[in-house]
Amino acid sequence: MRKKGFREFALALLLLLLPQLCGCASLTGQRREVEQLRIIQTVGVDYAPGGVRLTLAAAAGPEGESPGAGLSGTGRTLSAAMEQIRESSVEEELFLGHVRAILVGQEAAEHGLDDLLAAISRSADLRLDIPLYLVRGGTAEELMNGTAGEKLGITEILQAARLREERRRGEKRSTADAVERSLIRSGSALVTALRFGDAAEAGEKSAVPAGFGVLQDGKLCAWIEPEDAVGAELLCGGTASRELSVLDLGGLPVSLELERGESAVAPVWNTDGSLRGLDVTAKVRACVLETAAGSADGLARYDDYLTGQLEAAVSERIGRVLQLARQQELDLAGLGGRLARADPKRYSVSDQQLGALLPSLEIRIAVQGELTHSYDAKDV
Amino acid sequence: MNDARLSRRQLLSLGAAAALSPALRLYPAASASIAGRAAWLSALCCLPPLLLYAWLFGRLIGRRRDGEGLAELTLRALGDKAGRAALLLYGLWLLLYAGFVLRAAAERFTVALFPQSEPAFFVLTLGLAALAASLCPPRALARMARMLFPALLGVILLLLLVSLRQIEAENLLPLAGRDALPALRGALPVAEVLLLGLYAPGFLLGGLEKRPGAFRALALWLTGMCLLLAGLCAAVLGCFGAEITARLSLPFFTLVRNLVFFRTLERMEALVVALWLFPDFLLASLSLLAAHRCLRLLPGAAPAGGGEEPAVPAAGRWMIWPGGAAAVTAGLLLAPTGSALTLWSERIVPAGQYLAAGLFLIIYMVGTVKKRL
Repeated sequence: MRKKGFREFALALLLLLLPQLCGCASLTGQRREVEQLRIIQTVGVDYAPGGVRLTLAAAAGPEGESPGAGLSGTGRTLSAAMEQIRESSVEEELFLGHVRAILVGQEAAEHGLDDLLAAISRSADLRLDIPLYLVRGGTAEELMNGTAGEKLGITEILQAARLREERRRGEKRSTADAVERSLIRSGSALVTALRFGDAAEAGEKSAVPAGFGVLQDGKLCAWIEPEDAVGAELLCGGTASRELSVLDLGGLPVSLELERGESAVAPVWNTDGSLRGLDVTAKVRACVLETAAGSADGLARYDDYLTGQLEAAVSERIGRVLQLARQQELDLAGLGGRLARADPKRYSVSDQQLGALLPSLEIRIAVQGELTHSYDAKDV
Repeated sequence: MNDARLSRRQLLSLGAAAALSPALRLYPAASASIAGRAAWLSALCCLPPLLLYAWLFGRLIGRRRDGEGLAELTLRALGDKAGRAALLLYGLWLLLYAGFVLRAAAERFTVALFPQSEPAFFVLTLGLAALAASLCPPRALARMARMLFPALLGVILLLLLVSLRQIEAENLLPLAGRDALPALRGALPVAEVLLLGLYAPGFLLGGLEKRPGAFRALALWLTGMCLLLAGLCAAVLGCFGAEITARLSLPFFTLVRNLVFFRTLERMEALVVALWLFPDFLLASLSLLAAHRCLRLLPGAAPAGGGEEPAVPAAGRWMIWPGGAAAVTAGLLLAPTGSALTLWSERIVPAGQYLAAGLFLIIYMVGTVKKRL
């Protein structure tokens, strides 16, 4: 009888304790009610003298206040800045488990992203593949607070930017883990850039695309202009849904939509086995979005000319990005890794070394264009 | 303490489910830090030597009599004094290991889910659950493993399927000849995990009817586990790359945190971490039971054979209590900090596992030479 009583006691004790392990009870002090949480969706990171300034934006407050209202704090480290926000905030609990994007101000990026990337890796809340954006010519706080009163808050604006980037670059978009991996492998990385500017909606402000920021050893060292972004994306592997403007036979503007583009990089070897150069080939498919009135659209010669223009435009953009890579001695598009996959037996130069080799390499760019169809009415 | 009515499938499931606990704690990160992007091949590299070990181990357990487990077999092969010394070593090692399992499980909770909590609470709770399980007949544990393993396997396969979209070929390839040696060295953590899953259920063999085909069953088990671990490592490496994987404490659970299910569900890691309580629980309980099987023979009872359950001293059962207390105490004391736990995880525990697994080969050789088996 005594034994049976003990068993029941032990079972009851276990039933009491086991729910604690999956967070269903509160003995561990970890229980949090959803109503008490301020769910943070965007984090802004800026430089502050001797430390860092954090800005947090929630999707919507528990009382339905407008999205994007920023909470800011400064500290020597990210954690200290976060602690200052917690201490000074009237919110009951800041919840970082659903952060959708991190914005980094230009000055903070110039001082380096290593600490931020390490903090993301260590965080129990943040996802590793959280999208990263650089704020060109400004701070994250300005951008977040500047869009706070607009129809769309910063979280929605960045969500749209993320979808756009996903459509263009697929899984190659600039996320914290991709940036960190690229920095480890080649010492450089591309991060999507945004700037505070006018939205398409009249009178509204938004975050508009501003090309790419180039990181070297974790620090911002150069920018790739928005019009050259297509070249950078192609060098990184591929692109889609990009608009290109070229001139037709009569010098009239024509809008092309790059439906799909992909590139291949092949090494060119010297007889002694050393790397002599790179063959960069790109294949792009585009359609005609719009031609000027009076153009000779529909003629074979006209299409051939436009195809040539498309190839030249893409080649020029790839060339400008490669020129930047040579100037900075950076393998900013991860070409070393692609060379290793193209010819793993002979390629023994690490990614880091390829950056230093770039200025001395012969680089050939070949673009093969194809115009698939035209949306223009005259084509019918 | 009747072990009867165990099936081979139950014991293999118990070994597999228990091995999943250290596998997900140790394998992707430890192998990635050694073998880089070739780490996903490490699990396959360790298959041939493990098959050789399984063949020898199969021959050892093939010599057992009905009702004998590894503990009784050890005592019969090595004789009274050496046998008891070996059993004492195994018993102490398994208690220490049970404590380590409790501590490692607690660490996972504090790292992945409850950052501001104390590991002691989790050590105590899981330790109590493991103690309760080890007081029950082993078949209860084995049947539980038989039911749980398919569920755990299903979860892993679902996660692998969902992670396929995020895998990037450049994180896994190219591989060259120079990657072969690191891939082999990266197999050490895998071997450590699988050796444990191989030998620990052997202490419960007393309840399994003696049948031929032990090696075939072990070989199939090993092949399946190696393929599973290789797939798991490929998914983690393919998503994060070797460089980031090697830096993460719990790469598998970080992968789960990153996954989005059917474009709607995300942040499921709490459920998966909580589910992984079961492998921890099974492993801690199995270690306690195995330790008890060793220690209960120390006071002087002779091992029995000939179709009967080995004679257990009447006082043998009380050993579970101090054993459980020792394991919980070890769990509370052995690694007070994360870095100490890493030291245990990377140095002390692997050394102990290899010694424990290797000692069975010595037992087999001694028993064969002295014609006691």
